[in-house]
Amino acid sequence: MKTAAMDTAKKIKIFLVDDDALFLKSMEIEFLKHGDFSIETFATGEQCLTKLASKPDVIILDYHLDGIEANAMNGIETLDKIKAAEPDIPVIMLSSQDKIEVAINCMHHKAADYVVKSETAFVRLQKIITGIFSFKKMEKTLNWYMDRM
Amino acid sequence: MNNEAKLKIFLVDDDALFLKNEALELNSNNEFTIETFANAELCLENVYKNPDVIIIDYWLNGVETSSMNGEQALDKIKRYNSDIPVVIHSAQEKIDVAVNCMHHRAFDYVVKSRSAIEQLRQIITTIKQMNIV
Repeated sequence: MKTAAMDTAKKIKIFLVDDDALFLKSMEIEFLKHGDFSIETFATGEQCLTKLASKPDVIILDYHLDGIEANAMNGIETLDKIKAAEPDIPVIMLSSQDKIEVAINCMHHKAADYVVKSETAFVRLQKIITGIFSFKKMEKTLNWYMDRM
Repeated sequence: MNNEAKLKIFLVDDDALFLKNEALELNSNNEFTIETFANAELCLENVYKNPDVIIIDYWLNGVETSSMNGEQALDKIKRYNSDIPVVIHSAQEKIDVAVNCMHHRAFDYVVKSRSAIEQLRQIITTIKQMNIV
């Protein structure tokens, strides 16, 4: 069900970062099944940072990125670096960590949201992304009117 | 530091025993001026006194089911004066609730536990330092 307007509009570009290759692939498949997204996947935070210049609309970032390679950058560090380089890109933290302190800490580090990995995680991610875009649209409209006041 | 005015802290909790205990523990060195409220409505009536920190429970409708919860109170406080730091202190351990409180501009979220008083103290110190800057 694509309309002409949607075809001309740019696809939403999402970066997925997770060191769990299987989970990463299944997320990619879910996203492609449920919407018209352009997805890029990365196994480490370092790889994701080198591609920041291509300006993704949203980044979904795993909290435990140092599960396989112990000296890899972890999620918080990656989050900080993304925010330092591109403060406007919303970063959603995705994690199997369900400690409140961890979640709150991510929010302090300017994550847009925090989702615990579970069967319903994908639906939540979709909702959050929709929320982010409707907010951005509102912001744009508001700015448009403010410019004309 | 000694001649500076004491930090004014509002504590809000519907559990009277917990409230009293929290006030005593937090103020064991008598370094703060603490006011306690049994519900958010009372706290809001007094918010004009501009406290330096408000520490508020999430479940405020445990005793009176019609009273507002911590999140609603948070919104109202922020609408009155967005500069007052509000810390949510709660037994509630759901991540979505905590993250949602942060979206509603809570300064921090502390789960009720034995080490909570220490955490609160640390947060208050941070706020104090921010005030000086």
